Amino acid sequence: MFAVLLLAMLLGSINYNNNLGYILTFLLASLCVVTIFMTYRNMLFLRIGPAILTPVFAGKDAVIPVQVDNQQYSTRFAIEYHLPQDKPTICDIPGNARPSIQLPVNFTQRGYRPLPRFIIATTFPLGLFRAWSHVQLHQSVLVYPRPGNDRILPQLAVGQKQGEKLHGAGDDDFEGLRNYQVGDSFYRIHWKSAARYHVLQTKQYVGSANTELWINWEDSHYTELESRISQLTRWVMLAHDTGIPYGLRIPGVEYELSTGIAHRNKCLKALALYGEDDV
Amino acid sequence: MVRTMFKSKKHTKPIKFQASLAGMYFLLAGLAVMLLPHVAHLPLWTSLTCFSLITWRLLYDLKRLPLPNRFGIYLLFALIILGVLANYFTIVGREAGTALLISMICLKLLEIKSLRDISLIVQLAFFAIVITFLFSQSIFVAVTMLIALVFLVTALISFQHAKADQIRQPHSEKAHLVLALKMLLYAIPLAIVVFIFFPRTSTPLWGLPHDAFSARTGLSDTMTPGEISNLVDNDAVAFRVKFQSSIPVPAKRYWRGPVFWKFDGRTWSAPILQRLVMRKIPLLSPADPVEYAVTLEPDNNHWLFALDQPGMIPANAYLTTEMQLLMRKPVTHLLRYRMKSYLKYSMPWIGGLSSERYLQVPRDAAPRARQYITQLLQHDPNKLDLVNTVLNRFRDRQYYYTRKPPPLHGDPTDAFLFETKRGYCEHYASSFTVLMRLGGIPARVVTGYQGGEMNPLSNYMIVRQSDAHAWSEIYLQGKGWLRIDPTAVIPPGNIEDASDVAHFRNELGDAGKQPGKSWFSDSLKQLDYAWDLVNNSWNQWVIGYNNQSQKSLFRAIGIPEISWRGLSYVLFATLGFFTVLVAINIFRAQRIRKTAIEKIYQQFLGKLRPLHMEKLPSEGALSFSRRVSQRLPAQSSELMHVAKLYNQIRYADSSPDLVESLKQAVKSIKINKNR
Repeated sequence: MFAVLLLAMLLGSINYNNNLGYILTFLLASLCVVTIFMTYRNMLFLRIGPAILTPVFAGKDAVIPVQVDNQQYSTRFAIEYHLPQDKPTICDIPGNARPSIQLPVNFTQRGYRPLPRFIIATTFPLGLFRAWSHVQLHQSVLVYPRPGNDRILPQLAVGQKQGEKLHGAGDDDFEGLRNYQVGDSFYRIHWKSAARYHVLQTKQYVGSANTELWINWEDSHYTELESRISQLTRWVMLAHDTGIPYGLRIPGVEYELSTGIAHRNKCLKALALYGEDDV
Repeated sequence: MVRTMFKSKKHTKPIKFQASLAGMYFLLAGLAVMLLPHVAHLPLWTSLTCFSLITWRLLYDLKRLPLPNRFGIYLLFALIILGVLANYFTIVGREAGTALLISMICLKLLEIKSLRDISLIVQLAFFAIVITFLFSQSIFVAVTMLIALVFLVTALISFQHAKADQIRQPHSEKAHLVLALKMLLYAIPLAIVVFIFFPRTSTPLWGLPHDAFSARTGLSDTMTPGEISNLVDNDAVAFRVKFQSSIPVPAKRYWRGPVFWKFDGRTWSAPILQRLVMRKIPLLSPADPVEYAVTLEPDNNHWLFALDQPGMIPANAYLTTEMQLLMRKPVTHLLRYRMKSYLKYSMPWIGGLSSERYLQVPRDAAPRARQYITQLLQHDPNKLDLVNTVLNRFRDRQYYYTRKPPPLHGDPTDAFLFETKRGYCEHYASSFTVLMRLGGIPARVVTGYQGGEMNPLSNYMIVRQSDAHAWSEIYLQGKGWLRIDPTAVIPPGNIEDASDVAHFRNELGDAGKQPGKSWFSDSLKQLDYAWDLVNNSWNQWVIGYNNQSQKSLFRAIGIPEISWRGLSYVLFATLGFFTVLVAINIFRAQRIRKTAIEKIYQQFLGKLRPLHMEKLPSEGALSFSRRVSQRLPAQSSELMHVAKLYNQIRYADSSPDLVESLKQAVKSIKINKNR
């Protein structure tokens, strides 16, 4: 469009032998050349990576923070970044700083997945040209399986030492309060005392019978592998939310009863990597 | 890894448009400035419409007024088309097209949906600027358009920046403006190179539209005494003259223009069909040659002007039997031509012309004048005496010079000669010529300019439209054609209006001799000359640059003849050179943070090396400084300062100011080796 316009201006100037017309045409053409350099410079010496790897769930929109290092003193204006098929996100990158850009991703497969190739581009300053670059970071991110839709937990396995009072946490009988620990379910926080003492406390229950939750490979009625894993993933998450100690039994892996975010992540990781060769 | 190319459409679409208020201000300002020079020639309603549309958009952005809906925009669109049609009866052509284009650009302001619309508006505005130059190429217009260009580019930058939806710097308008200026600054040398070396043609590529160059002020191609002349008050420059030889005295500054010989009793003309062309100059024993170059302002006429009498025929021009120089094509651009004139000459009768051509007076025209001449001739049949008698009549019989003559009723010649006796050069030249013809003396009317003032600041003469003049030429046996200026015989006391005095003097070539009225008017005049000097240089170097100047430029740098191919080689070579220069300038990396401070810190370490103090790899900057301080306790504060600054820059705030102060701190440390 702009090239056509310039050509029209040039032809007009030649035809009318208009010197100021010539000057303007040449000035705009030169401006184009300068713009190419400027656009290019807006991207030059911009170091991308590494990405900060936190596990994401497959099938969910997520963002992966990617570090961008602008070692020059000038701000990089209107930098666009996106996966090839997505809409760009646009941001400024201040001079001499190392901010993170939030790269939106959406994985379909579980396991360790290489970071997708993404595009970083800019059309600044005039929008006439576009400088772009494909960025392939050689990093892999752990992708948890997509959680299934089934929201009903499997039947709680009956504890083997029936009737005996266990000191494992259950949810039948209220036993007392203890200080909040990371990983405790929000459902069990004793909000009344929190308001009174300004300390978060978690209600402790003693399970008499159904104190343990085992998530077993065979519990799922799905036969197809990925659906089964999806279901198990959902169960792990539901179990984590309830705060009941739970364990995971899948072929080749057995995790003992436990709670907490680390336990959950361990279980999810096992599910994510199930069947992957390079576990 | 990074690549650049023309932006493809695909990527523009998904960008969500965010109006940038600053960008919009710049856009509107750019459009308004761009409109200014158009106000003069656009119809009033167009200017008003455009400025209203701009104001509307501004009020919308200030949240005062809603935008019209789609229907409203269609309505406005239709109204504008109708307006242009009503005004020009067409929507093409230079004037109508300009009015339409500019209105449409402004209308588009009310319908901005995406960044592409902004881009479209700006690009069309660029086009409108080129069109502006077709109307005028004056310095004023050029400067105005440059300002508009800066605003428009800044608007583009602002809108591009406004795409970013994170880390917005809230007040970056100034940075955008600076960036736009910087980009233009880079672009200007490139543009100048192309401008100088771009091959020029002297002929248009295709026919120009009919109204490409509408008539501008100048002399006219007929002369009717009594018609109101619009030249009289026009101070515009007609042409400028640079003399190679000595400058002729004011009384000799008769610039010959259109010559009229056909008289219908009221109007003088020179029918084109009876125009005859001469191959060479017919002057006998020419003397007092004057050489000069004329830079003629475009007037869309064929006339060239030369001092009485022209001694050469410029390129693309021809000479008529009336010694009038004419261009083959109308002068639509500033035209420069070399001329040579002879102030002393004898001009013989051109063979083959019947004397009836210069004796003809309609049978029923001027009966009283006819009677008067008959009486004179009965009294004294000598032709030379007749000329003197008539001139004496103008001098002695209460004839007045005025620029506002009374209307002439009945036969205009008789009415002027015997009743009103008031008029200006046209009246005198016309009636004198008629009287001569009635007396059997071949005569014709010559129009042109008389006088011209030297610009004291530079060595050239300015001839203005107000110097327009008319005089007579008569043919006497044995003497040839003689110039007679009947206006010149009017006694200075017979000038009616004080304001006419200056003009009368002008017409008589006394300009420059008038004593300055006051210091103030003197300095005004001085300013006027300075401004004209600037204008003249602008004309010579910018507007007047053409393939001839290009050739002479190449001759000056030692390339006598250059082909188109050679020219394009030179163009691309020079262009490449300048492009690389610009690119280096742009990419000259601002020092990269780490390397810059490391370098400074290495200098610091280098200063300590003579003391055999080396920083151990395991040592931090602070602990190293502490260790050195034990050797140099007097300088411990400076040493610690360097370490602290270094750490701060490395790990916290690496602003350029801190880097600079680190540099200074390292510089100021002086190590005494004798310790």
